[in-house]
Amino acid sequence: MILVRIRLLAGIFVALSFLVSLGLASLMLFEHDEWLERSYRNRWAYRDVPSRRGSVLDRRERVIRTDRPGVDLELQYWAFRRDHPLGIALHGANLYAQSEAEWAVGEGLRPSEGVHRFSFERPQTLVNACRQVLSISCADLSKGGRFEADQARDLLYYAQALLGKLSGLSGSEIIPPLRVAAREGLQISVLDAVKASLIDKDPNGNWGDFDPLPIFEQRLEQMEALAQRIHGDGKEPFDLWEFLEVRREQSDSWRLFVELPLAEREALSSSGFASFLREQEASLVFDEDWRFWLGLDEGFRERSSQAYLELLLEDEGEVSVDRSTMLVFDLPPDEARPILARRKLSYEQARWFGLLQDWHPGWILRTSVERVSGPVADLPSLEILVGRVTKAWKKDGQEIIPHRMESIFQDPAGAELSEDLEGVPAVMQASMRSSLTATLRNYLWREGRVGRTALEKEMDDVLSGRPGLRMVERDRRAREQQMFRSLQVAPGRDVIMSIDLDLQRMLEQVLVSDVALDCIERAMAIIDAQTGEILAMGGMMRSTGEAGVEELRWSRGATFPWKNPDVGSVVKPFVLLEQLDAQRHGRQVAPQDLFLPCEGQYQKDVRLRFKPLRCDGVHGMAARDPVIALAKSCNIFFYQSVEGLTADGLHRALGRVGWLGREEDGALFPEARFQGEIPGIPVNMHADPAHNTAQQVLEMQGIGYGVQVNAMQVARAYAALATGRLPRLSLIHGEAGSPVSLGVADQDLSIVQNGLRECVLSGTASRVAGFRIPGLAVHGKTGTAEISRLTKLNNAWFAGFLGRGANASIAFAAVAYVDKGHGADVGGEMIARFLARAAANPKTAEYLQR
Amino acid sequence: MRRASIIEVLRKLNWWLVLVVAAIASAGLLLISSATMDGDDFSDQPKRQLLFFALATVCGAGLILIPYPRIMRWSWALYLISVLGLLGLPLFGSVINGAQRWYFIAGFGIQPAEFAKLAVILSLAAWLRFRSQSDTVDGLLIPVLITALPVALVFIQPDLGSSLVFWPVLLAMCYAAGTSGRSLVLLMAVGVALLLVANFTVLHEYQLERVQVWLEHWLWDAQAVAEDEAVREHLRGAAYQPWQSLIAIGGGGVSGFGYTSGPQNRFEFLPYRSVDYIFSVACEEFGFLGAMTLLLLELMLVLMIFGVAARSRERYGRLIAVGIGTYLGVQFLLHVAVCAWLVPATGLPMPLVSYGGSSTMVAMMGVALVLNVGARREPVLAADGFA
Repeated sequence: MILVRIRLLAGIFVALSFLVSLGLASLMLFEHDEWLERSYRNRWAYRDVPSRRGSVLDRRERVIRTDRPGVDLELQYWAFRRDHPLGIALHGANLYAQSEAEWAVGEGLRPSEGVHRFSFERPQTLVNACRQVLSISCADLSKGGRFEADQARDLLYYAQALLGKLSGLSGSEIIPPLRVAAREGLQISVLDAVKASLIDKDPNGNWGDFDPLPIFEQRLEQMEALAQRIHGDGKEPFDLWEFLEVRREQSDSWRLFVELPLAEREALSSSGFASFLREQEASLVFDEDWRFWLGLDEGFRERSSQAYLELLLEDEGEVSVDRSTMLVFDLPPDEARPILARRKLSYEQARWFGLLQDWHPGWILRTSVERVSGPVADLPSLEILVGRVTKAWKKDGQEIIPHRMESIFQDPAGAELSEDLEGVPAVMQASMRSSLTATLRNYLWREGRVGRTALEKEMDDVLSGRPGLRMVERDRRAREQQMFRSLQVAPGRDVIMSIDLDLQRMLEQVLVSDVALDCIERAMAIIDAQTGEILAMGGMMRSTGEAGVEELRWSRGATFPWKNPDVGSVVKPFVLLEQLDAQRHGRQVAPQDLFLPCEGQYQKDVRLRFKPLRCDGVHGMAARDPVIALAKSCNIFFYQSVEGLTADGLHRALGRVGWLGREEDGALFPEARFQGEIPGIPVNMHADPAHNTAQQVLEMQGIGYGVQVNAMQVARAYAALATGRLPRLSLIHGEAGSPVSLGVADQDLSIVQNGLRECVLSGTASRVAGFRIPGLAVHGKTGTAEISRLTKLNNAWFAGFLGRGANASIAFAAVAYVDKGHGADVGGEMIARFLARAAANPKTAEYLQR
Repeated sequence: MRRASIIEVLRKLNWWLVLVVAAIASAGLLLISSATMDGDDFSDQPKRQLLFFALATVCGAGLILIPYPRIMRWSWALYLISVLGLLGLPLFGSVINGAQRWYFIAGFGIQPAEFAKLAVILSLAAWLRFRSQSDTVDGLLIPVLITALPVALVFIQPDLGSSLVFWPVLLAMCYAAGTSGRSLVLLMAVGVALLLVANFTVLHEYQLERVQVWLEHWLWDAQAVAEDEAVREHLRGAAYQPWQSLIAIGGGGVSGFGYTSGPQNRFEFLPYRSVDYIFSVACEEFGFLGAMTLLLLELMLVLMIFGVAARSRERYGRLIAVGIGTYLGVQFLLHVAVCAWLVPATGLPMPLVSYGGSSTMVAMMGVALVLNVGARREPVLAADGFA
């Protein structure tokens, strides 16, 4: 019988072994792929390699904007609280005070009046906190002692951690004597208990003199020095102690800091839910990655969880509030997440603190990248042209990040990963690719920077480059063990602007000079007459500053130099060119030989707002001479000219230089003249030229009323008058494209050019003395157009060029809104000053002569 | 009756059993080497394990030479020493990972719980050898008390895993001694009831959490593992160790990643891999085929020990063989089940394979005792129908 029993026992083992084998077979054979994938996921990771954004250079390749590596200071409060002597002392002392108070209440005693909480706002009291922790009685650390077991355990932790940090002793040297003393209920301080143990073990070790306080004071001094250094570093004031205190309060009062789940995020759009959170004093915050975090205090769960869920269900009726929604309440406090304390530490600060960092756990120096202006590019007008860069925003997830992802994977280099996946089981390949995508997306969210305005926005694809992702095998502690080739980093390409820094600085100096100081807005644009590249450009507008004082400030899009004012007489050369071209080709036109002489007022009974059409001078028969008419800006000539040309002719005159804007239908000229997209300038930053026919009679349109063009486009059109070819504007060097021929006879163009030259020599601009620069043939035209009869303000334009044909060098336009200022005195004077400065500098003088 | 000479004992020794033990021990040494090759802190474990085997072999050889009935005289003394050893732990034992299980002498840790297993087997055998027809008090209650004392002392260390191994040993030995199946079922029912009560009162919080997570994990699907924040929290906490073990086992497939190439092992995802999860290392590096080989070797060992029990005519020796076979078999199966998360996670070394001086010594001495029993034809001291 007994043999049967033994056999039965053996049989049980065989059966159990068989069952275990079945379990193993299930795992290793049937679910192998699933576990293998998890095995890969465990150790395979992607290390992102940040790509530096390309630099922005001027046309002489001087740095305007570039990436500069920097250092940020972050705090991981969890580590600070547990490992930094200051954090340990403060939290330990506060816990002791709290435990003692609770014990006193439990015993029916009144808590000591002297019980107080230590705080970082009074750093000088931290030494007392340290003393407090070191003097905790060992009897209070025993589980059956005065305090709750949890409190005793935590106090033991703080006491041993503080002693360890200040002495360099290990836990195994500190904890056993504390445990023994606690078990025996000894009424001696933790410091004395450890000292006694050390003296026992090493009688010659001078442990009797051991005093940890000086080391604590040294750490405190170092933190105070850090606080002072970063408080007075010339940036926005930063109070390190206040920052720490906020973290401490969160650590104490906000037991939970949890990422807001989807259902709650969606419910936030409901005012009821949001106000409920406010009532419950739940703190709702975003982090740097634009994730929602909800701060809940200890009592929240008991006090409000039911109401919380009801509201959630009410607001989001279709959202199932499942277990995971509730379980977020149980997550530990999110103290482990590093919080940015101070951005862009100076090299000196970072170096100083870096040397001390091992003594200050919790503080992290993290490298970062800062977008800075180059040493010679401190020009506010240029800052506006270049624009700004920020970290990725929440809304970028909709458009910019998917676009970048798409461009990365379209790039043939994006397929590099495939080679690394050779030999990897098929089940893993798709998984790893999706992991790569997710990592890349996360990186772009977390670290990506996006050009927001102006050139940084327009050239974002070129400048931003491509982050690298290196596939690595990591061990449990995230230490890399093996690397694979992966997505190669591609730094952003540099962008060379057409701007010349010296010219831009001169333009800025002119714009802030005393020309028409009472103007409301002013702008200038200087372009290369041959290529259309913008050499310098800027604008200012009057607005109320922070101090409440009205002042001229550098303007951004939608104001000068981007917006369109009426061009006034600046339009006349184009009307004249059409007059001459129409006569040459037999289109509808009034012969200029038959024009009425100029008597200061147009004889025809045409009225504009109850006033006759007038001319500023009485030019007599000279009004029949196109050169003189242009030089003197004779309105009478142009009234008659545009009447002869009719609206169609005027349309053609404007369309020839692209001033019809998007109305240009392609029927007038074989090649498109309108340029809506200017390389380097976002489309929404500047206005298209416009021809507003509704408010003005044809004659007024002929002298520039209702013709609305900004300074850039005016300069472009005058460049066409200089060379006979309409260039394409560009803010990027070498990207302008080919100019388009105006398609007019050289003789006709020459007449217009002569008129513009005469304007400077003997015409309306002749009073600008600054134009008489030896060796420079300034051509130009003034324009003075009323903006409003009520305000008496008018535009004061001057536009022109230097040299003609192949010798033409630059074209320019300047405009200001002034109170009764003449184009010559304002726009002309601005250009003259600019030319004088440019001519005086050998480097910039090169631009003036070709 | 004439005592067998040394040569006679050696001639009658079950060399197949020795071979199986040698094969298992060699596999253990290989696996320990693989599990510790990258860790500076543990790199001396293979050498130390070799030393333990050498010491255990010497002790075992000595044990074989002593006729086992003489050992019976020392059973109660050994039991007393074991109990005293366990009692002394709270005073003189060292705390590692929150448990007070070891005495450290000259750089070596001695774990009294392991020796207590052998002492309990010897004592139970000594008690039960004359009690095949005994009533419930003699045949069941006293053995339960003999077992319960060291179990309680082991449990409070705390060492739940080791404390669980004693009970199957008790049941098997009582069963082999002739205790009725009905009484044993009753005992098991009481045990289960006590276990349920203990579940709420005696178990530590972390032990309860392990049980809770183990119960929950059967419901986890791939989506829950990937997205459910509560599950992910478990995977970072109480479920971390068994989950990493499952990844190692499941990832091994048919033939494994190869010796020292198991990523869970190499990259240290697998915790306590030279002791509590060494079978997972075997699975990951040698695959299903390797795991089955090891499983068969251990099963062969257990069956051979039961074979010795079946062939022995003397009750004491027979009960020792049953007790040791059960102890090795249960501990082996529990280790595999823990690795495969078929039972809640608890730390239990794989006999003769896992690193550990005490467990190796006890397992080897246990095998030596079985060899001793098998090599001798001792007189049947009581005609009680046992044969």
